[in-house]
Amino acid sequence: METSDRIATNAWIDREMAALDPEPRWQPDCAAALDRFRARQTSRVDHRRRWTLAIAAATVLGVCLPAMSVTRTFAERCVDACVGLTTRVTNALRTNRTSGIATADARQAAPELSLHDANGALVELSALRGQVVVVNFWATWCGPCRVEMPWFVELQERYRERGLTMIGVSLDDDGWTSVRPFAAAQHVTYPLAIGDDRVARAYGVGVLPTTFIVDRRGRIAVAHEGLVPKETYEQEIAALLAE
Amino acid sequence: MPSDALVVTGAHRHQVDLEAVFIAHYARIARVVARLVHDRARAEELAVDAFLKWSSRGGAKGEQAAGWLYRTAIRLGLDELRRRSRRDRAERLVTWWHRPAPTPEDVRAASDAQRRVRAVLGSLRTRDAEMLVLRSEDLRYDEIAVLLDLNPSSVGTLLSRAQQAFRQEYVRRYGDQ
Repeated sequence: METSDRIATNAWIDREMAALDPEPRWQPDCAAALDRFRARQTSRVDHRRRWTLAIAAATVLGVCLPAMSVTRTFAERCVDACVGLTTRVTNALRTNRTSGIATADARQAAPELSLHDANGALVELSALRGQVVVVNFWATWCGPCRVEMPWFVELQERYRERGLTMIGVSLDDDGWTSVRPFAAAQHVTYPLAIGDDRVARAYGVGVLPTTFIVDRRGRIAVAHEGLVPKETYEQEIAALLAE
Repeated sequence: MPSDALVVTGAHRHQVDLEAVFIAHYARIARVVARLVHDRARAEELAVDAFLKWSSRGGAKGEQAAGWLYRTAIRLGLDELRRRSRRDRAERLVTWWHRPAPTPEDVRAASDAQRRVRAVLGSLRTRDAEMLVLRSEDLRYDEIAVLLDLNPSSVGTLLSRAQQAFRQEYVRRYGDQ
C-alpha cells in the first residue's frame, strides 16, 4: 500500500515537473553563447587589470599621502575639529559636571608641586602663594587637552596682571621629546612641566584633562575632570581673583 | 624558462580545453536552467555565467567540471527564481492599493502549473531542488550522483526525500490536487 502511494506520488511529481520541460523545438544557440563567453572572458580580464591598477594606485597614495606633512597637518586639524564639535555637543547635552567653587572652609591645601619647565627653571606651587594658579594635567595625545590649551593661553594673557598663573603638567611618557615640539606648534606661552606618577597620584588624577584652580592661599578651590567650557573657567578664575 | 611562444601555446591550449567543455555541456545546462527560469534568454545568460565562474577558477576538468557546472548553473537559476519571487512579493505589497484589474493573461499566468512548480522548487532546500531538476531532465541515478558529488547508493533515498519535501510544500501552498 505504501509502495503504491509512493509510486503514485512519484508519478504525480513527474507530471508536475514535466510542466517545466522546455519546448522540444527550442535549442540553445551554442555558437552565439560561445561568442558571448569569449567576449565576457576578455572584458573580465580587462576589468581585473583595471582593478589591479586602481588598488595599486590607492596603495601608493595611501602610503605617500600620510608621509606628507601637509596631509598630516590637515588630518590633525580634522581630528581636532571633530573632538571640539563632539565636546560641544556633549557639553550641551549632559548635565553640568563641574564641581563649582568650593567654600573657603571646604578647600584642601594643594599638594606641593616642584617640577622643572622647558628651560630647566624650577616651577614650585608654594612659590606662587598670593596668586591664583591653574594646574592643568594634560598629554599631547589627549584630544580634549589640545582643545583647552588655546583657552589657557588666552586666559593667562587676559588675567596675568590680576594675578593668574597657569601651569601645564604633561603626563606624556616620553616627556620633553613629545612636549617640546608640541608646545612650539601650539604656541603655548605659559610654563609647562613634565609630571610623573607621584605627582599624578598626589593630585588624584585619573583622567585627562584634569584641571585644578588653586586660590591665593594655596588651597584647591576648583577641580574639573574632562573638558569644561571656557566660560566656566573664566567665571571661576575671575571669582577667585576677586576674593 | 619557457619561451613566449610556449607560454602562448599553453594559454591557447587551456582556452581550447575550456571551449571544448563549453561546447559539450552548454546546451543541456541552458535547458536545465530554463526549467527554473521562465525567460529563455535569461536562462542562456545564467548558463554562460556558470561557465565564466568556472573558467575564472581555473576550470576543473572531466566529470568534476560537469558536476561543478551543473550545480552552479542550477544554483544560479534557483537564486534568480527566489530573487524574482521576492521582487514580486515586494511589488504586490507596494501596489496593492492601486493594482489594476488582472488581465486574462495575468489570471492564466497565476494559475500556471509552471509558476506553481517553480515557486515550490524555490522554497525547497537547494540540494532537494537540484535533485528534482536533474531527475526531470531524465538523468539516471548514477549521472545525478556524479553531478552532485553523491554516493550513487544514496541517490534513491535522497531523491525520495526531495520528492516528499516537494509534495508537502506543494500541498501546503496549493492544497491536495
